[in-house]
Amino acid sequence: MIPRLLPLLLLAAAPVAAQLRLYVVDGQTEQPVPALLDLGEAYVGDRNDLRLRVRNTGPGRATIDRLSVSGRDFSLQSEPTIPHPLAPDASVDFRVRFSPQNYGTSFSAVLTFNTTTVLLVARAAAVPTLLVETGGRRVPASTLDGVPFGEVKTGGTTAVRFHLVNETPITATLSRLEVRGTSFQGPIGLAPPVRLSPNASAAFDVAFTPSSNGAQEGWLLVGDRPVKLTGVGVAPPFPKPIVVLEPATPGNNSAARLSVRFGVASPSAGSGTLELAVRAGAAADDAVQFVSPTSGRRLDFTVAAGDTVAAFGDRREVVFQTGTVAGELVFTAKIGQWSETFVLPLNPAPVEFTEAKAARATGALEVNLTGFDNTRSLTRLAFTFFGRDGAPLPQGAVTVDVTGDFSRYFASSTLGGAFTLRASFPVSGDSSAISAVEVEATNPAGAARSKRLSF
Amino acid sequence: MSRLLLLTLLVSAVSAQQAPRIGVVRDDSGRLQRVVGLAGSFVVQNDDLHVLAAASSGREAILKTAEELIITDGDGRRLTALSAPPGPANFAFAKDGSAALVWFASTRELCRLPSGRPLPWQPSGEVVAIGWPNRAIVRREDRLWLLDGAIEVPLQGLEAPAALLADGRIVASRGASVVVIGLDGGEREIFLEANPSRLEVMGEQWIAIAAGDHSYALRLSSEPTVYLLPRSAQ
Repeated sequence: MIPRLLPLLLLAAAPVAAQLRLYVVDGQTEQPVPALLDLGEAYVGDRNDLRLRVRNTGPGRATIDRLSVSGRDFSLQSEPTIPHPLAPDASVDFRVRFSPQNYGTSFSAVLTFNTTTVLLVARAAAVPTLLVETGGRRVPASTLDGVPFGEVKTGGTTAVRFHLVNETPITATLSRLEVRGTSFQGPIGLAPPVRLSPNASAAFDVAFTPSSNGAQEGWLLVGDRPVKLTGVGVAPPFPKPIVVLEPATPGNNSAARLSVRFGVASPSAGSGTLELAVRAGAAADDAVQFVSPTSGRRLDFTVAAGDTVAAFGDRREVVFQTGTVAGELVFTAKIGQWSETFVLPLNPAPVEFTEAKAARATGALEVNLTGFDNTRSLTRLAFTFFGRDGAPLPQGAVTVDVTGDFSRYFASSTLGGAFTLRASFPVSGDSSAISAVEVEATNPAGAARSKRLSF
Repeated sequence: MSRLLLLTLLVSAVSAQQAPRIGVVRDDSGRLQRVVGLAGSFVVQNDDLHVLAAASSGREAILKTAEELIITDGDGRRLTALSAPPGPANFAFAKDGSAALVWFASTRELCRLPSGRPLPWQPSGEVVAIGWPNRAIVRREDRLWLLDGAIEVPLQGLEAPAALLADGRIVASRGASVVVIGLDGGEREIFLEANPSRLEVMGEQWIAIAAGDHSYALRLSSEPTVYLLPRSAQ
């Protein structure tokens, strides 16, 4: 009777200890942890991690009161803070790491979980230890972390020294020692096969010579072990860009050429942008734009190493229109750390006529004017008519206040100061007595007079 | 008499201010584009219409679509439309812009506009350009000929594309240049970056030139001057 009752009493007396269970996790599967857990073999400097899980399999709340690992070269990773309560069916994961810093045939440690202990064992691979010199120290190279070479200017080079040390008690032979990756060169100073007696060592260099910007990657293959090599190519700074116009000070309503130049040959290749902006108050002028190689107010350019002039596609200069408003055209060339602006002032000026015609119509004389007022504030037009003898008609010019009309027109126009107008003068009788007309336009910058227009 | 005339010159005579119009062009895909602004300050505006040919007198534009011939005013308002045979067309404006001619290449038919009345004319050769009232440039065995009424003159050293202006001047290609031939036979050659692929009458005294990656505007109102045309805002 007693032997049958005892197991039932034990189960009832220790419910908490029994309901927390430790598992090895492999993907989606959980396996109970054996009393002796083998973490396998690792290269010196590398690490083997094993994922473990504590699960509360009981019906009540339970707590992890103790979780630790003893022993050199073993450690816990991502472990929970202690105490760590677990609700029924809840779990928490952590990893046990073996990371040998020296060669050895047998490593061991004790993992303690509450009242349970697990013996951990592992081994270091019996191959020469790979050390990398960094900051005057030699440290084991890590397969997973790789060996960083840092930032190097494109075209420049840096080298890292490696050491192979045979810490094993037997002679080791490495038939493979090679470097892969276009930006990495080596091994320099050592060629396979490498034969190392116990406690012997050999050194070699690996060079990093980036030919382009950005992160670069390579591999150092030591026997069966791949060690990642990383580095970053950094372009040397671009020289300061200079915006050059031809002609140097184009006025309104013209097309000019522009190039982006450098005082010295660029040591780097890269790309930049050229932007055009208008500072003209509220005035809108769609004509202010690049017209070659493409249209718009923003262009991309490229620079090759050795260039003193930026390239816009296959061209070394662009063409832009200055438009018809007074103000400033602001060109901004951006490349690398530079953002250089060039300001082209366009000063207020009297009206400019680009086309003017006078014609006789039935019962009227007509004057057609096309041009621009870069102040967009034309105030007055004066028409002086001439007789057959070429003398002005005696009553003087016909003057028209156009302030309101042009103000309304310019407010609705996106063509800067460009305008065309038709003035019609009804005539009764023989209009052939009037042979020509001149037009004077006045804006705040002054008065401009057309050439004499014959009817 | 002179004094009476003076009294009728009205002070409030300025009748209209508007954006300067230049004419119409079509891009490489055939989309119609309107060109406004000034020489050197161009703005190219997209239209929804796709056309096979387009020309403008400045006051009016003639547009050839796949099935129609459309006449618009300078602002793009449709004035009339006629059914038309398929394919491209050539246009010629009268000097005062009051009438025009259209040549339908697919049917080799010449019509007067705006009536659409067919005209009897059957030139030998491929019509490259037509001019008002009875002029044309035709291509026969890779050589251009100017037809002026009953007179036929070979255009030595000139190539298509070509255009005839209302004032009688000829614009034709010569390698990577265009040649403007005046009424007195004098030539003015303007060099481009590539061989012209298209010449069209863009507006009064304006020729649109497509050459290589660029479009140009050739101004003929005074000394012939060529300008780069911006591409339209998308």
